[in-house]
Amino acid sequence: MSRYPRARVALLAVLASAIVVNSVIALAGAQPADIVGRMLSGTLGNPYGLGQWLARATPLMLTGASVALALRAGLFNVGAEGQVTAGVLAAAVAGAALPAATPAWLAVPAAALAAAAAGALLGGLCGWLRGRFGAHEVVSTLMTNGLMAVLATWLYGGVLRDGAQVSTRPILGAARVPTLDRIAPLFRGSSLNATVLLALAIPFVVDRWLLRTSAGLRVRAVGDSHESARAVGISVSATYTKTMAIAGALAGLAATHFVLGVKGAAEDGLGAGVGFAGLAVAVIAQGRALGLVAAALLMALLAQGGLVVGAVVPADVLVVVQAVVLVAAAAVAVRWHAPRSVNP
Amino acid sequence: MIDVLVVFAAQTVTAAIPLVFASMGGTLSERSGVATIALEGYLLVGALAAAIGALATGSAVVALGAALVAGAAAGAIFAFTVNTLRASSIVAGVAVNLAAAAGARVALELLYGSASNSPPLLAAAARTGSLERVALLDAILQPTFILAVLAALGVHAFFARTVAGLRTTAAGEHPAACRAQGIDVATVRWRALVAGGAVCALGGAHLTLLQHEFVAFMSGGRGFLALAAVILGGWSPGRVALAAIAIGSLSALDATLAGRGAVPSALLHALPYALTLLAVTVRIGGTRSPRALGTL
Repeated sequence: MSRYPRARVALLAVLASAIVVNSVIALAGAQPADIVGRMLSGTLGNPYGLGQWLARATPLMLTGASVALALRAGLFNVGAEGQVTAGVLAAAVAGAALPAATPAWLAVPAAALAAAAAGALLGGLCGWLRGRFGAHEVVSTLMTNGLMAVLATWLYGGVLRDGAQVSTRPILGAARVPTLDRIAPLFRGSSLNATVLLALAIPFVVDRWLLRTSAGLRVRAVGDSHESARAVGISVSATYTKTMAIAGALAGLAATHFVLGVKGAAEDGLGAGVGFAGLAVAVIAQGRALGLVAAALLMALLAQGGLVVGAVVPADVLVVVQAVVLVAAAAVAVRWHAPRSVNP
Repeated sequence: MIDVLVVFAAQTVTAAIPLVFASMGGTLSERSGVATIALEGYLLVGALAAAIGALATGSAVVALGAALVAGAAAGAIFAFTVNTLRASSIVAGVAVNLAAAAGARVALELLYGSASNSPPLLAAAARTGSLERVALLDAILQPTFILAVLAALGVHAFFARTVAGLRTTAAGEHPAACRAQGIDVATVRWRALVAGGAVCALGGAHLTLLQHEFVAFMSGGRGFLALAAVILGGWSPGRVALAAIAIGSLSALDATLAGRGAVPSALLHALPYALTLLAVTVRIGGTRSPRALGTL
């Protein structure tokens, strides 16, 4: 048990972030109140900023749900980063390979499915290695991150390169996910696209699946105590494989936002960072669906807010704040992830 | 042919130095029972501190000292988060990496007005009028090489010969038994994590001194490669150092073969990750991790 009660840790975190932000703002020679005002008006104060904020939160909800699901089985999915990379690759390849006559109702799901499948393959591999051989998932997912980074750089620099472009061949027009300005013209110009609807639904769907299905019950049972789960006849290794495959698929789906929604193609570094940020989202959310959405919105607000105030203070100040928030949430969450007392 | 081999050897040494430092830091930390994926962040912090130190004084010794101090500070933050706040070591590691990458860019922008890189070390040294020391900076490869060898020998001796090393190992194997013996596990881990951060950060200093500037994200995944070396070496300092050198030789091989197209460079870069994946799967040589690793 922590020597520091929850409330004190949370207070400590608020203080720490306030000190970090204030001192950096002061060092940059600006007024803290002015910066906060700019940040809020630049994100929440106008439709474009609002759109960009929601767009930034979209992939974080998916990677957050991915990490949170794995945590329910007692697994740390540090591999969302590589699973997103795999999804981006797959979505770009599938989206460009579709026959020109493919209708949108078929093209979008096909490309999204390819992204999910690529993530599932990568995640499932790590889950299987854990269940079958006891290979610790933190190590294996970190290694698949490295592998995917190398593979992506190689493919984007070689076979997937579109002539003199740095990006891949554009995907089929019908495979593009529509931007939301058709429904809400307000968001015109922002990256917000229909993927946000999927991303908003996923945490609740996953929650329901965990609570209301026997497969979900098995995941929770394994997470609470794999010994007890084994004792009542649940196959722990199969559960690990399935959970990590689904978690990988959720992370891979983030490619729907990046490739099908925003870019229409893929390039090296597209989607970088959202995997690790998803880990932060999941830890802050402490395992609740609404919490995932809120945490993704918070992290996106900090990231987008950083860009808005970037002209006055360094944009990355708010990423440091993200890290402080993450640590505080992890400290507060001591009890929540307690079931995990397994040996690697 | 000899020329190629000499170039290859030199490049292996250069590529292996930061990996040896980082993997020694990782060994120190992980043997105490705390999973340490913060190595990537330590490298960045060390690289930045070295650039600041070198630009301020023109001295490579100051640069290395600054890296050592900054790495120890980063290790202390990690230790505070894991030991005192009892946050998960994986989450804390991700947080350290995140904060280091972003914090380095903030510091760059505040100090030098650019978020991407520091001014070149040469120009700064010239401004302070110590051109001879610039030549020293140029030849720093030798001092960091010697330091890396010393770090590996030191970590080996620490675990093989000292009581403190034995206690660190014990804290990583069976913290409860340690406590029963009257050993303060938290203190043992604090020391291991601070020392681990400091040693790892020297690898970052090497990168800065080699490239004559600090560049944002210049660690480029070497922290994770070093973690791979720790695992491939079975948490045993000698074998970890060998693994780090082997991984370094792969990227040297890539540099040496560049343009010859004999082996796809992606394959060489993927090899350490694939081998590590294989190693944790089949447990090469029956090595296993410190028992308490991953429970935090």
